[in-house]
Amino acid sequence: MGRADAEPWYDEDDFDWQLSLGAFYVNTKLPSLIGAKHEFSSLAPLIDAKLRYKNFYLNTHSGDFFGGSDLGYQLVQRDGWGLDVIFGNYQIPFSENGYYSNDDKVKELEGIKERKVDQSIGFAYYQNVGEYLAVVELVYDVFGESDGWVFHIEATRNFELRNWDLWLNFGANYYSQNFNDYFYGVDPSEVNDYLYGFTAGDGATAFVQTQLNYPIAQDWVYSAGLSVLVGSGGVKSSPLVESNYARVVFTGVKYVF
Amino acid sequence: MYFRLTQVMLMFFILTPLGVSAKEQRKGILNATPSKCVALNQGRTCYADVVFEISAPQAGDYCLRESESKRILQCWANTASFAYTLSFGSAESVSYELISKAQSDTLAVTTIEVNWVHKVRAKKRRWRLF
Repeated sequence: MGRADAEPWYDEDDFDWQLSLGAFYVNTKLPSLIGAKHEFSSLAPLIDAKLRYKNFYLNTHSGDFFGGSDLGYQLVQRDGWGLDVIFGNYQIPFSENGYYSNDDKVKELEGIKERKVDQSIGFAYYQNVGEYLAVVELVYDVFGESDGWVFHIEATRNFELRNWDLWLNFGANYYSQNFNDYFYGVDPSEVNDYLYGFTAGDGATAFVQTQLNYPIAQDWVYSAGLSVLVGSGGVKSSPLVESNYARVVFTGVKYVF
Repeated sequence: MYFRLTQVMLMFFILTPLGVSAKEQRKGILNATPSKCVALNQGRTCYADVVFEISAPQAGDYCLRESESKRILQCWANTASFAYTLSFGSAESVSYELISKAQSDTLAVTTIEVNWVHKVRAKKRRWRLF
């Protein structure tokens, strides 16, 4: 059985990189915004990069799960635990066009201000717990507009099943009232025929994810994954959203350079 | 000139089939399928069901063994063609050889190559969510 580990995942040399290119089918269902499209399917190119220079690292994920990037700096690396400074995004942006700006304007959302993606900075603490790697993150939306913070906790384990990797990841997020209200509150200036004024309280989500990887040939990997996230009831009270459920299913192949 | 060309062509037709047949015969004595095993990470055990097909030039007593450890996998008596399925599991490439019991001689060698996709194991992984 494999175990997730807080040891550095790269060599101790100064610079490492890894680039993956592939094609993935991704089906995403996001929390339903009133009147807006919330399910998306695509056969999309995947470009993933892992860069590490000394203690800095950048990981981008364009093809699997919800995408995004991780930028970090390893402050402490010890046997069994570590502490990083991290930069990342914890909420998906949306506007009166829905989740993606190239969609048509949604009449139910007309007049709302753009909810820009958070630009959060904070700390991530890693700790081996038996066969699991536990991660606790506390970040503040420093460069975004929410003035809120997010507490994230998760556990990851890798099961090595012959040549297959089966990753299991589960955890929860807690969003401060400011953070939640920025995305799901409705200001008086945004009120329209469909939206009433609303102040969102704090919120939470729980999630479970799994991913299968298999080496189909040298440098080629097949992957498939499923991610499910459920939000707390408070978010559903917002007139902006009709559901607090999200999931992603993906499958595809990638070439690893 | 005509004589020399004939000579060259004759030598070509005589030598080439001999060379090919010797090579093919050598290659054909011991075949392993698949001959490559790919793991996700360097250093990880790679698993595969490898089928060895043996076609010895003549009936006899033969054994299949690991080249380095000399560990015998299987022996066959008074036969020329046989097959063996190995449940392969190794983090490194492994060579296997066919030996003749009578001559204690190595008749053929084949190698199961172990390759990997990632040089390093993705131990620390952050899962991006929203």
